[in-house]
Amino acid sequence: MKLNTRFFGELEYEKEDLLHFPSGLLGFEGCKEFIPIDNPDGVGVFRWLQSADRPELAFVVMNPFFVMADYEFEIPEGVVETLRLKRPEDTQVLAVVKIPDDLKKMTVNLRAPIVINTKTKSAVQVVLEDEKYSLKHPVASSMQDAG
Amino acid sequence: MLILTRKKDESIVIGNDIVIKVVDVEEGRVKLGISAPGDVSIHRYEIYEAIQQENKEAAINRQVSIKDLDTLIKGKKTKEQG
Repeated sequence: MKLNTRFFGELEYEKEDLLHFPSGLLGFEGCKEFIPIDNPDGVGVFRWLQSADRPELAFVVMNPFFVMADYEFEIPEGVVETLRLKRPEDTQVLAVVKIPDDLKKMTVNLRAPIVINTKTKSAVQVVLEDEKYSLKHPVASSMQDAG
Repeated sequence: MLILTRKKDESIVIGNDIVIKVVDVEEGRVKLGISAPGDVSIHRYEIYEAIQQENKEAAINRQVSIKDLDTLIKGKKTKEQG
C-alpha cells in the first residue's frame, strides 16, 4: 500500500505493518492507524510513527528505557484487556518524543507511554496516574550534565 | 451540561455500567468513587488535557533526522561510559 506523506514522501507499507490504536492518540482520537518507520541506519532507539489517516501527521517515538533504565509501570487491567496482552514478551513500550528547534532540548513523555501488543499490532497510549514520571523528561539531560 | 445535586453517599449512574458516588465532601473538595468497566479509561481532566496538548506539540512540523537524534544519544553513551 502507498501513502503520500508530508515528511517521508511516498511511503510504501504492508497492511500487516500497521499499528492499530483503537482509541487513537490523545489529542488525535480519530487517528487510529500508524505506520512505524525504522531508520535502517539508526541505532534502534528512535523511530517514527506516521499516521495512515493523515499524511501530514507524524511523531518521533523512542524506547523509554534508554532514558531511564528502571522505568516501570503497571499496565492497567483495562489496557491488558483491550490489547489482549497475554505474555510479557509480546509487549513493547514506546514513548512520544517532542522535538524543539534545539535538538538538545528534546523531551520524552514518560507519563503517557504507548503500550503495544507486538503479536496483534494493537496499541494504546496509557495515562499513568502515578505522578513520578514527567510529561517532559529531558532526553539529553545526562549528556548536558556530563558536558 | 446536565447538572445534578447529590449529597454524601449518593450516586449517579451513567449508561448501564458506570456509577459515580460522592464519597466525601469537605472544605471545597469532593471525593468521588467511580465504578466502571475495565476498558473505560478514567483520568483527572487536567492530566488528560495536558497529554493531549503534549501530543499536539510532539507532532513533527519539519523533517527530523533520526540520524541527528542518534548522534545526540551516541554522545550521551560515550560520555556516560567515560
